[in-house]
Amino acid sequence: MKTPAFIAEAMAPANRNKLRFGIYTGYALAAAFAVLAFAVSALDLTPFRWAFVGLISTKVLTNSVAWLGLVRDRFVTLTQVLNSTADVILLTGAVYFTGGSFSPLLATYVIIVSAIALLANLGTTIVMAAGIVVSFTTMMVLMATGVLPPTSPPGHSGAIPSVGYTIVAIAYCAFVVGIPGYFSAATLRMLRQKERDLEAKTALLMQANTQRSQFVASMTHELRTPIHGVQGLSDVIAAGVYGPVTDKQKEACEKIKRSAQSLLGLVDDVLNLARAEANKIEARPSNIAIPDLIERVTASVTWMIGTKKIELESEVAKDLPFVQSDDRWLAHVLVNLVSNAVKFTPEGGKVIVRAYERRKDDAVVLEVQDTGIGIAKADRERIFEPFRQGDGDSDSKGFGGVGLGLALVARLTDLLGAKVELDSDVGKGATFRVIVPVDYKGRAVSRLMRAITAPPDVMEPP
Amino acid sequence: MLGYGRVVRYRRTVSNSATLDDVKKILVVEDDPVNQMILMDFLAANGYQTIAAASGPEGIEQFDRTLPDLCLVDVQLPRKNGFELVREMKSRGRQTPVMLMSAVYTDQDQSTRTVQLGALADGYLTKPFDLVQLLAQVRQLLGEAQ
Repeated sequence: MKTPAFIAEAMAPANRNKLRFGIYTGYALAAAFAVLAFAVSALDLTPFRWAFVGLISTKVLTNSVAWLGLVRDRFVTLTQVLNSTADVILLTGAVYFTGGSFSPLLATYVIIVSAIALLANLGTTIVMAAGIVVSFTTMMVLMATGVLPPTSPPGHSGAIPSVGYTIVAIAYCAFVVGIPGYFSAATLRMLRQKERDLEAKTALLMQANTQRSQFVASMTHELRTPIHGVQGLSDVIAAGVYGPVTDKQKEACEKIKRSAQSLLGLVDDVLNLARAEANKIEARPSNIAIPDLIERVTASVTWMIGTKKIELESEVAKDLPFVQSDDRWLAHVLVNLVSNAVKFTPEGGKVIVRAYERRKDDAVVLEVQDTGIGIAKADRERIFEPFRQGDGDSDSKGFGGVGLGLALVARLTDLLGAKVELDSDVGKGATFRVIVPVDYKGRAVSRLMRAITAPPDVMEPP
Repeated sequence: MLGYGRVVRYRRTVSNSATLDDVKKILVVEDDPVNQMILMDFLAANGYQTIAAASGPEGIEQFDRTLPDLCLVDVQLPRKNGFELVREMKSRGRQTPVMLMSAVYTDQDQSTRTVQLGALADGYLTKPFDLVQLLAQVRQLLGEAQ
């Protein structure tokens, strides 16, 4: 026999979690019924205690068979159908032994139908609801015709229900089971459709994002070539290849080169950020001597200070441990922080780079402190987003750049499993601390990162 | 670079007579016209004869025709990339030193590949060029005194 489509869908591997949940619901109901049956027997309210023992043990048995089927991934459909059929028949049995149409257990039918509607699909729900009505009707007819002896709810005296009452009770059961079952299934189907639409849209968005990053990555390469041209030509001119050069012209060439250099830095940041967003950069940890790193970084940003009167100092603690991290990206983080500090520190200011150990975190702290304009509390998280400066206050407007540096810092520290701390207030300068774990532990998704990428939970890749 | 040292010694003895033949020929394979101009003008200003090629196929054609003493090859070239070109040059068995040039890649895959295949070339130069470094490398590969 061919399995109907709705059953196949309900049994699909993607829905196994739901089936498992159904099994747990089965055990929960069996346990609840066991407690009730024990109470009823202890109070001596029913002559059917062995019937209850039989019904509940059968339920536990079929439930366990279905559970085993799921765990072993064998006969899943068969065991699930068996378990569901047993649910209907056993529950109808319980209803019979607690008074038939007078049974207080009628509501349990609704629980079963609702659970099925939530866990399976419309087809399964309809079949289950129909099964319940058929099974209940059979019991009522058998009772009304006297084939089954009359029963009564625990603690009540029994009576044979009249024909009229039987019909009303069956209709009641059909309504109670049918209406909520239908509505929950229909609502569920609508939700599923929305879920699928959302998933499709998310996939599309993620693809578009990757494509954009790839585009940016390839475009920045194209951008670099002409900048190299500008730098090279100004060098060639300054070297006197095209004839004698005056000191003034040499100075102008030097300035052209420096401007091109900062443009190149910006293009590099865009490229790295795009690559980071496309998850195309990776960390290659090696043992890093922090004093060397700081020396290299301060040397490479000296040109940025130029004629600006800023003191750049470094204070490196003695006996720092070697740090397992990616040398290039860590240097990049530090270069970005230091050049940012230089950019936002006015004439006569001071930028201090510190390195010290933080034993409790098993980490080395790289600290960049400036006496610049500072960052307002409201801007603390926003400045780590691309293309943002602290635009909450107008003070920062006088400074160039689009603020890619800190976005890249956030990405890279995340890649390195490091954390960034920021102490600052408007007008009081800023202190950035990069907490670098001594042992490389791989990517960390920090609070900061989540603030930047801000993916709602539904945006998780499937 | 086996046997390379012997060739250098031979050239040195001849170069004392300072004929036009002794001007070293450098083939520059670079598709960006500005970068090509920088290299050509700078090398010419330092007393070398320069030959230009703007693509892979043109590069190999000039290599076979002009028999240069040194080649500067860009990694990113139209139609045949720098790596293939260097491999082809080396397969001619003439032991002409070849220097690869490329932008400093932030792309790690690319830079790894450059380093691996750079072993094929005799030198490696990053863009933007540092002219002092460029000249030093050129002189070293041509076996000239610093």
